[in-house]
Amino acid sequence: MRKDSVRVPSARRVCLERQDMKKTRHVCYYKSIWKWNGALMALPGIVLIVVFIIVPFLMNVGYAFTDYNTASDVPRFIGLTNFRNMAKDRDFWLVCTNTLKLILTYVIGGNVIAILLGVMITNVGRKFGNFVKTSIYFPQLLSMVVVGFLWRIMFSYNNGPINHFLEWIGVPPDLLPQWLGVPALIIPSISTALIWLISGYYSIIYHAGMMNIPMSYYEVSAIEGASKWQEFVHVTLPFLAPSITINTVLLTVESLSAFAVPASMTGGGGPGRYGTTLALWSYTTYFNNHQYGKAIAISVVLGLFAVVLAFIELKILLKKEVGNS
Amino acid sequence: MKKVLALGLVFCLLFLTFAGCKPAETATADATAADAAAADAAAADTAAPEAAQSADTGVLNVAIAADIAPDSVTEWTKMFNTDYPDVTLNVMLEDASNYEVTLEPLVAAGEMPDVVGIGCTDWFATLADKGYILDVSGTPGWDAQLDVLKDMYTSRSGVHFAVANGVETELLYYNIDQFTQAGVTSVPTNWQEFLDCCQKLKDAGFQPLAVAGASPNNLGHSFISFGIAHEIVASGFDPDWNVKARDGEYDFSTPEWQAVLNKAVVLRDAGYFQRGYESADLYECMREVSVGEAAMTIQGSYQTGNIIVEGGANIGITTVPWNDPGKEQVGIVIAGDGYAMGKNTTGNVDLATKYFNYVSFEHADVYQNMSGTIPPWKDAAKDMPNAKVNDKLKAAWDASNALVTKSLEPQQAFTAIVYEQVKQFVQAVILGSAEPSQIGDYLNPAQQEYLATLN
Amino acid sequence: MKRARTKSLSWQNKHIGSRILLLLFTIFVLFPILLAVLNSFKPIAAIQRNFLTFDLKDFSLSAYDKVITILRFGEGLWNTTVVTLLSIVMTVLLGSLMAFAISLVNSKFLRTVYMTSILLICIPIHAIILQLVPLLKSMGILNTYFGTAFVFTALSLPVAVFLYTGFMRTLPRELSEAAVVDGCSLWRIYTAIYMPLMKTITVTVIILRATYIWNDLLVSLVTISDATKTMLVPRMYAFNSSTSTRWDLVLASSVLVSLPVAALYLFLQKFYMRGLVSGAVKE
Repeated sequence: MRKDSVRVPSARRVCLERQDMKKTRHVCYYKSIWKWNGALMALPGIVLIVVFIIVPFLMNVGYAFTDYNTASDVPRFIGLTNFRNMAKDRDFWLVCTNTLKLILTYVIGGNVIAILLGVMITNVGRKFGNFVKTSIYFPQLLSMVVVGFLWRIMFSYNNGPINHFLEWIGVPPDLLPQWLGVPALIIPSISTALIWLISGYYSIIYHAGMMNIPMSYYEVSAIEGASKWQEFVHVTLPFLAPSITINTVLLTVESLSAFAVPASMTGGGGPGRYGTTLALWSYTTYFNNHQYGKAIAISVVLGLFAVVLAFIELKILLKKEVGNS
Repeated sequence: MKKVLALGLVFCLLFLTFAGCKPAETATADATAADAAAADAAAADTAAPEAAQSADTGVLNVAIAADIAPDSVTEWTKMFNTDYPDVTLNVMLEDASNYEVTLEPLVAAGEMPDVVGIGCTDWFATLADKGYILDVSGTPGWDAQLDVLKDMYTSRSGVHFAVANGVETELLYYNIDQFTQAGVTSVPTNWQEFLDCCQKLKDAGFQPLAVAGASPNNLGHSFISFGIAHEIVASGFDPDWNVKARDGEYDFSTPEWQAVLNKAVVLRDAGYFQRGYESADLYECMREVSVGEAAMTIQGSYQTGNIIVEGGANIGITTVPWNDPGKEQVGIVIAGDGYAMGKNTTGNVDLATKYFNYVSFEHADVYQNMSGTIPPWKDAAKDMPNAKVNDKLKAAWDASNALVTKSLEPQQAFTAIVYEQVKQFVQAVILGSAEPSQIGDYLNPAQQEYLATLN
Repeated sequence: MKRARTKSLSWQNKHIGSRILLLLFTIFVLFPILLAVLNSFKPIAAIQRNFLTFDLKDFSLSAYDKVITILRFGEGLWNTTVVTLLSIVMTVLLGSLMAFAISLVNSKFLRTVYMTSILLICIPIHAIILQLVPLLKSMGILNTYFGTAFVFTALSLPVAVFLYTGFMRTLPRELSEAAVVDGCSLWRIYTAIYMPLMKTITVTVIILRATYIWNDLLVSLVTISDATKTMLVPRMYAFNSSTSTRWDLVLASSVLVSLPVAALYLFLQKFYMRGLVSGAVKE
């Protein structure tokens, strides 16, 4: 009985045999039908994505080259003026630096803490682990605006629990840091709030990854007398490599689109725009300055930057993955 | 266990929802009656609104600010629904410190609510020029307004676009008891006395001045208002600077402009600001004064209700002594946020006018009583007889009003693009990362960008 | 489910240390939320006095009263539920269909679709949002439940496709091959075989996206301006201004808005965790 695999790429015509009563029938069909069916199935989703994501994005890119002003008439093509205005703006480099700083602290800090948490959750018993997993997921259920506000209270100089705690453990009042007032401390504060937000989700992913590592590897390392650190580096990490890749990309994207948390925490961008990221800058330029062209230019740059960065990260991390395994 | 918790949460939600539930407030109306409503509204009699319920029908979309006196929104809705039971009133809430966020999407769609709460800024004047906001001269609210408010709410092309909900100024709020304890015998009336007062307070162990360092919005109202008032307007250098800047090239790097924030720097360098001022937001700044942790603050008169609170410190109000000894004080005139009529999308102009008159004039006292603002009328006794204004505020307002020279508040004088930089600049100076002489570096590029949009 | 852990790990001795650290971290995570909830039951004067203490005699529901009336909470709740439901249904259906086609059918077109959709996860919302109003308006669906639902679905599809594809690739090939032998069409394979298997991953998608849609500010603010159709978070935004002093209203509204999602999460938590573990780890 000849039975073709359904996934042979080159076969155009697939013939299978069927037992039908006492006859043996050849049922032949063309694989191209499957391709059409497949495309049809995916079509509604594709249409939605194209219409509501790709089209607005392309429109944005297009309008970035005009003097688009919603309250006026036909936009004129003005070339790169919007981008030049954006680059000439006194805040441009500061905002870019802030964004990069946020990406670094958030991605690295977030990954490290999530991995640590994942390790710890994997170690303790199932009941306790489940309790922890459920509890630390709660921040994900809140709106970003709320998260920003909560952490504005937490980091508040006079009223905030963090400074109260520091005072309680003996830090003299003069040395209490102004978390949201000192330029150097703002991005770390925002990162802390963001890490608080996502640690519940990513730690679960890492925990799941660790649960799937076969015991045999650990047995081998135990036999060879490896220390727990070596075990971690040589057994756990390589298996987590794919997760680390994906999560790094996801974290990068999240930090780039984070705008509600910095906005609520710093009341609009922080002292002297030290708390403003590209996303927040695009938002304030649009809504407060009413400079639509410039705001769109900023958002286009942001979008391209996100895609390029994700690409680079994928390339680097995928290579490391392959190298490791 | 978790399922129990989940059910518990749902129960909490339902309980809170219904515990706080008041009887439904939106009256029913047939949406397709909108066409008939135009005819109805035109034919309906124009009896006094406080009289018997009107038979008007239709749909109205309105947007009112809800963060200063949130209860006024519900109060008005209730009253309007009682008087006009067949009108469907759809109320959208706005954020008074950020009208743009709610209104920009509407403008992008080419619409405006029938009645909309707005601020007195250049952007709304531009919207009026473009036809998004209608002319409201002839309405009782417009006619009863103070002339200065009428000027401020007139756009470049002459559209009279809003009725203010109050008239405001910047005032100095101070702690009477701390003044006494520090040996300050009389309220400062000029800059030198003010500095001496701050020093005495500091020596007595109090925090002289509370400043909202983390709020560029708030900083853009206070110090620079008086800087401009004295250095640019009262000195005679350029009293029409805002008109000139709006219409053409303007240079902000002249010595007069570079001196605008000099006095703020004096305060900053002498250490008169409260501890932690760099990260204090408006709420924190006002809270410190109301509970007595700081002695003074310069805020808009519309914040009186937030600073003088029950159970709080004994607060006095006076005009701001930014003037050099021997020179006159200058008063800041601020037009309170206003009500405008938007480009009519539901087609019910008459109905919209009725609601507009309702909130802007006939029942404006609802908002006034909750916010404590100064009535914007020429003849307040006649037009708002039961207005409740804090006595101290009234006295301070009268004193400010009596000042001969007046200047505008920056947000209502600068164009939007430049004002954004003004806010950033003032904050940079207060926090010490910029000096007053750098004002040109901040504002001139913004002015250039603004001019480019005029073409 | 594979329990890969037994006692022979070399670092099982750190149980106590891990437990303590985890407990501390949990407290760190839950503390701000607790603070917010407690303070939402205090009147504004009490909040101003001291944020960190809670006096039983300060307990009052006035903030909730006000919030519910001013925000017309019931209406907002209904709007948000409708939009979220519509979006989730569409996301699950369309996303699983797309993932099914991608993982089963060998087609260059579908491979490109998959790669593009993964890339689209990376585009921040800001690059899209500014053009949504003119676009929706020209299609005539501005200010409608469906318009907003379409936007949310489009935004959720990349993630949904990613999760579903990851899951479907773990299913053995023989499933579909056996069906083909029996003469099933592609659609039959989907409905008869794959759909019943997708329950767990569907729960994951539901919780992830429902949370996002429920709590989203920008899209809902921009696409709906009709006062009767606005969703909960944009309504709440009126209180959350940077000059807001009504902390009691802010906190009360935050608690109210978060309750439904929290309840949904607790209900489906077990399946959600299972789905995350099985589906999200794979490439």
